[in-house]
Amino acid sequence: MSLLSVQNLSVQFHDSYAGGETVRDISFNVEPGEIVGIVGESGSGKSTAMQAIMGLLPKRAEVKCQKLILSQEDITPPFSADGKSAVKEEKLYEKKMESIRGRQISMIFQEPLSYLNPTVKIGRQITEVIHAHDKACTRGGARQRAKELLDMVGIRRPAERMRQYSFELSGGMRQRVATAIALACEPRLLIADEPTTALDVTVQGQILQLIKRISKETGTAVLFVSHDLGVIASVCSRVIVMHNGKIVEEGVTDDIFREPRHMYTKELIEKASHLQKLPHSMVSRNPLFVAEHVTKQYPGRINREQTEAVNNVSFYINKGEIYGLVGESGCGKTTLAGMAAGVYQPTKGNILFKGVPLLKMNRQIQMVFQDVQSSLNPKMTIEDILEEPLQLNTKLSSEGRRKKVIETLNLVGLSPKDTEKYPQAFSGGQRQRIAIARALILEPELMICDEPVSSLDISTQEQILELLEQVQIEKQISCLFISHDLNVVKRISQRLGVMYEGVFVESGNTRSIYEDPWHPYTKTLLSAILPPNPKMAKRKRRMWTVKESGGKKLLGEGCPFAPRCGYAMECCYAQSPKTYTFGEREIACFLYSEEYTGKRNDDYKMTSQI
Amino acid sequence: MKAMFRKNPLLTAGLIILILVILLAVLVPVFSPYSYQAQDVDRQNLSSSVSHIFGTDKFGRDIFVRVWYGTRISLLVGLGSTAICGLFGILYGSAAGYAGGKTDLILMRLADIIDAIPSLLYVILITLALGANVGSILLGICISGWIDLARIVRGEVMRLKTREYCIAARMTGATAGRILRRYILPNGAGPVIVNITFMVPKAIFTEAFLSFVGAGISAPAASLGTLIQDARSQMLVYPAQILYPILILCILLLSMNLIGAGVEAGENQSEARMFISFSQGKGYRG
Repeated sequence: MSLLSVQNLSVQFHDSYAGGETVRDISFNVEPGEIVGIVGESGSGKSTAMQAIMGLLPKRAEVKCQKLILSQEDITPPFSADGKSAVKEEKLYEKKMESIRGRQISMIFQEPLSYLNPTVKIGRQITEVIHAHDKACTRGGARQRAKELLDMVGIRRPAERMRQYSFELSGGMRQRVATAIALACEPRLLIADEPTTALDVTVQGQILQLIKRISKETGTAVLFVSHDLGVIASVCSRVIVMHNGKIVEEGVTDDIFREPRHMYTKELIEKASHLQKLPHSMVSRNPLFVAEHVTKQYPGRINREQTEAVNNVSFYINKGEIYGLVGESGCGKTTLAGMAAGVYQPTKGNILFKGVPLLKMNRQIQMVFQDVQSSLNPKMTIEDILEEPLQLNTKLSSEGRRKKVIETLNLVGLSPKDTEKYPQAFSGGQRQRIAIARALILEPELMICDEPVSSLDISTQEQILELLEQVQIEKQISCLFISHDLNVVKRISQRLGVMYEGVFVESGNTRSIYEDPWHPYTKTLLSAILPPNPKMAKRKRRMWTVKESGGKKLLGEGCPFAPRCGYAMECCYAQSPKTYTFGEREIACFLYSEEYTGKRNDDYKMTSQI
Repeated sequence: MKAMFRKNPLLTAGLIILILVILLAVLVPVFSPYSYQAQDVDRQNLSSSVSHIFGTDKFGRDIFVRVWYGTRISLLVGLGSTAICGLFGILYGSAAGYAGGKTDLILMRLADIIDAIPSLLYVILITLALGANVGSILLGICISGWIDLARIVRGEVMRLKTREYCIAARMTGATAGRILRRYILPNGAGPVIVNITFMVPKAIFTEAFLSFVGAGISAPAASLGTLIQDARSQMLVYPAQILYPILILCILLLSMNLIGAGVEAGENQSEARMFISFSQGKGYRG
């Protein structure tokens, strides 16, 4: 007997601005205790379908469902053909759903910061849910239950955490709390809507393990919505692939990944495994851009303490090379990008561009941004956007400018017909192409890409990466490529640097770092990559467990990674490690110091110490 | 255009009423056989008739002409002060918001100091010093009328100047003026326009109030406020004389407020539409 059975569910929006069916006639079952993945691009109707099951869609959405059964209880939403369903039926349904939501089905959302109430303590938010469904529960009992729940989702010292507010917790902790709230009434079905998309890779692994463990321990079935095939491959036993509101394929995870039958699934899996490729080309050493001991401090608000966003970073980018920069959110990548672009000046250290110190913005350095929504001015047409840099910097006639605009549009794979349109008319991937065209139109020598693909779907991601690669080869542009996703960086860069809390912990040739990471943090990052292949996911040993960076970091003292590092020695807490150089590889870790490895000769060959 | 009017009945109604009022205010004093100041002792306190639509006042002046003449002054004060305050407020707010730091601090504290004195006091002091005419009322309203708008513009500019398209424009060498003109102000126009449309009725009301308490336009020139004040002494005997200017004032304020509400609703609607298209992934689809 299945736990949830959905038959012919369709959702349609009757709006002047969002017509058409978002979900078209989907049917599926969920058995008790299993984890079912729903995968698809954004806009494929995954979330809408989940919200329709929960009865959370707004009134203007027309939900049509033949049958919706949750453990033998009929929760089919009322529907009448003329669009106006009977008020009484609606009310009854709403009343029924109120008791089902939270108790039978509950949901985890993508962004725990906006889901948790920032003005209410964590403990209250959990006990509130318990009280809402169990009126007889005493206050003490509810508190006890909340403690148990927090303990179950892996939060240490729950009693203490219950008195904290959501903004005091890290991203992973918040998602754990959100999970605890969802589990408060022992639901039979948990809907997880992209629960790890907003998290760092190392934290993502922990949350996935948590969901897996809870499903096993409590027998809760999980409907896991994600656009990331790697995530799906590592947690789900069954997969449903959605495309344009329809289910195109459904089956056991192993089968789907081994032999996908539908074209769309094939394409998705192929695109995702493309990311696993490694780049080959090598470039000769000819530095175009050099950063020497760059430090950026921000004055603190309290006690005039200085916080360091970037601390003593040195690296160089060769002519015609893509240099990758990886790190978790908040590690100072974007600050470094800003300094490289000349938007802000470093507090200490030098940035040299073509051998000359970079003191202000340079037309030869252009930038591509992460957020495709805000990187193009919505009030300007594509032609205006692309023409403006030429107007300001060249003496081309209006005809010459137009020619150049069309040439650049062709280069990034857009049609010249689009010049009169506004940015709203384009999809995320197309917008990113326009942003790349804008950066390219002045023929810069260095392009800084700050997370250019993070807000895009997998298939679009791959296209943009291909475009960047092609443009880079064609125009011999150097590129600083920043991402939190090691997968993406290793796919495109020839050399890379790994950043942690403002420091470069390891840098060198991409291939050698990927095949043989030396620094414990790099190893953690690599082990957090989820391959889109269930076999590999199963074979992979337990992920490197690292503690989450919870506490405040101590400035200037010790290695920043020491509190999370499995190899931390006493000296790691006392002083910060120097950067040791071994050929191409540079590493900041005491494991590679002379004190640790002993005196070495000139021809000493260093190998990984971990 | 047609679709916009159908979608936004508030704005449409407001605009139609306003255009009617403006036409009457311009045309009636021009084509009427009576002058707004010519007195006629034989025709005092007449009630409505074909020759005097609104009747005459205690000096025998035609109220219909005087009401529309007064509307002219009200409109002049309302639109004029809005134009001046709007322009200055936008410039001042953009300068403060874009420059940021110390410049912002000094400019905004200066505005706070000016704002600390009640605006009515400015108007009364200036009409005392420069005489009670339209110019001094305009000046008085404008001294502190731009401050609210400047604060809003400053906020919008500060919000938008860190947007990535602004950084990209700076990287391609666009100057501050260009970025403000082409990138920041068009995108921050919504709340600014809404605020400006509400400035008009406020100024009209201030002028009418001042004239009513006797600090505004002086005789024989008429404004809606002075007309109401003049009729007040014989309100119980000839209620129609006070009713007509009040009615016109109400219609004028209503039209302005309708326009303001319409613009505001349109603004929210377009934002809601954007939000919906994003949340359903429509914005992303190819």
